[in-house]
Amino acid sequence: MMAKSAGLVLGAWLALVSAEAHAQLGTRASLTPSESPRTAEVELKLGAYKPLIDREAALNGAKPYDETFHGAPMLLGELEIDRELWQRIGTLSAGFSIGYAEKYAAAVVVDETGGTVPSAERAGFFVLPLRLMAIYRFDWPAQHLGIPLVPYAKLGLAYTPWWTSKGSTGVEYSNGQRGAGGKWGWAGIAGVQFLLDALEPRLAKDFDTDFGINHTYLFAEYVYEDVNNFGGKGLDLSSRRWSFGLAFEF
Amino acid sequence: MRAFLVSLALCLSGAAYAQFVGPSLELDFGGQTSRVLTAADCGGQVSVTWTANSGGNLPCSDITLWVTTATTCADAPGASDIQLSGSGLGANTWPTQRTGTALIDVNSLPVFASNSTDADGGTTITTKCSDALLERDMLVCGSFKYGNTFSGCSSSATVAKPSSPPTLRFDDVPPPAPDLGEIVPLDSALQVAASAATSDTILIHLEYRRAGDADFVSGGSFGTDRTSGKITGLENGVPYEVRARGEDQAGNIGPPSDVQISVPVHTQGFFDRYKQAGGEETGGCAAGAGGPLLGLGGALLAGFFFSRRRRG
Repeated sequence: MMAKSAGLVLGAWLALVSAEAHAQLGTRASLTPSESPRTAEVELKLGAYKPLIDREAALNGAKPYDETFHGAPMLLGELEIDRELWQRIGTLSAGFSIGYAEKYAAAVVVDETGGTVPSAERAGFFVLPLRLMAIYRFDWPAQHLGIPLVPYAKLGLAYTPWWTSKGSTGVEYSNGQRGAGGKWGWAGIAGVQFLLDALEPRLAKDFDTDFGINHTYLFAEYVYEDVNNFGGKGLDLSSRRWSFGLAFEF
Repeated sequence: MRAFLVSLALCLSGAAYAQFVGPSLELDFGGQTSRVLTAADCGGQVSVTWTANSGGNLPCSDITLWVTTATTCADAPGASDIQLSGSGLGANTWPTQRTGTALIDVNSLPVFASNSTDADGGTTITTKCSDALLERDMLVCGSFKYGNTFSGCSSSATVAKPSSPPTLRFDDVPPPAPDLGEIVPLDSALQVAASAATSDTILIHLEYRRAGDADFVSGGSFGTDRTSGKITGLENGVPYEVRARGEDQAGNIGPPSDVQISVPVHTQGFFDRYKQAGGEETGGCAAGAGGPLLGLGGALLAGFFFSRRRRG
């Protein structure tokens, strides 16, 4: 809920700022007419990742994730690198992203009544989401009309290695079964980037001249991913979430 | 004129340098500034390395080395101090710098001398090294006299001493038992809190046995910079008796603490809770399966960097 509200607020802010920036830029043909070639984009992002583990049918309504971690999401940091392949009406890219998130809580002891009490040991859950994606960014208006908003969509293959821990003994075992593995899935992402160059065009041009960074963006994106071996049994690492970050186009 | 001034400046700077460096006497135990001895060292010897430098001054005496129970080094050994002999000592004339070694006979340390007195004072005690139950600090001291080039070795000759004499401790007194604190039951393990009763305890050894067993076995140890240690490899649901012993810098191990009983318990982490709730995950398809995806990602990265280099 908080993530949705934050997304709405950011969206409204982006719209306001973009209108202002557009007014400043007028009908200029291009933000940076003499810019260096654009070949790639690097994104750094953060998001609240709460895997949909508890929706697994075999759990019959039990909520091991919520009960262990008190329903709190994990803070997921991601790095994405996109290679731009086609630049005509918008930009088509191939991208790869890698992320990491961890969550800790007290392990529990089951008492005589069947209830649980926290123990002195810590239980941990870790994920390392990987994604390979095709990306389309509609940046033509930003490049040619000075409208500093770039909507985009991503679709790709996801693979998420995961592992658990308890105490200081490394990976947790349950009845001899190792608490680690990996899950395949797919991800669809929709988002919008706000071109920060619009706020400081001269600085942006210097950035390109000095470092080869053509454009800098602030962005928000909604991630819809099903990571459960395409509907297979076991841990469901799917999620629906917002991510926010900073992107540099080279 | 200019040559004269340059010569004068060089002469003065040389003299000033000699005065600045000054004489020195450095002592150590092969690079160490302290050494701890126990009853196991009785009958042996400890080697002291010394380096004396007259610093351009005139040496006026032999180099004298001794071991004292005093807290500071005097100019010369006292009556109860033990004077050392060693290679290189005794020569009255020596060049700017000399170095050598001297040997300390552990049985002859001043703490074992017959003029030691007990706490009541006055009572003469003769203590043999092997019978001693002592924890005493000593200093290894040294000195030589020197004079300057103008006055020579007159009565005004001054004494050079080590700026920080090395310390020698004889300690065969075991540390007291540590204070055993809370024992936290863990999964197949016990987290045992214990603290040292004295500051010279550096290690706390944990011992345990199944309640009713005859002998305690080692449960590992931890440094006193930590507050607890963990005994692992235990069986859940079984009561264990736990105690601790301290070890000091000299390696003396003290008596055991009081015994406490605790029982390891099975704890559930996230994966265990998930499985107990009916989760069907079986693990597997582990991180290695993501290799192709990582490979493609790596290729993308390589493409990115190569394209950057071409542009550069």
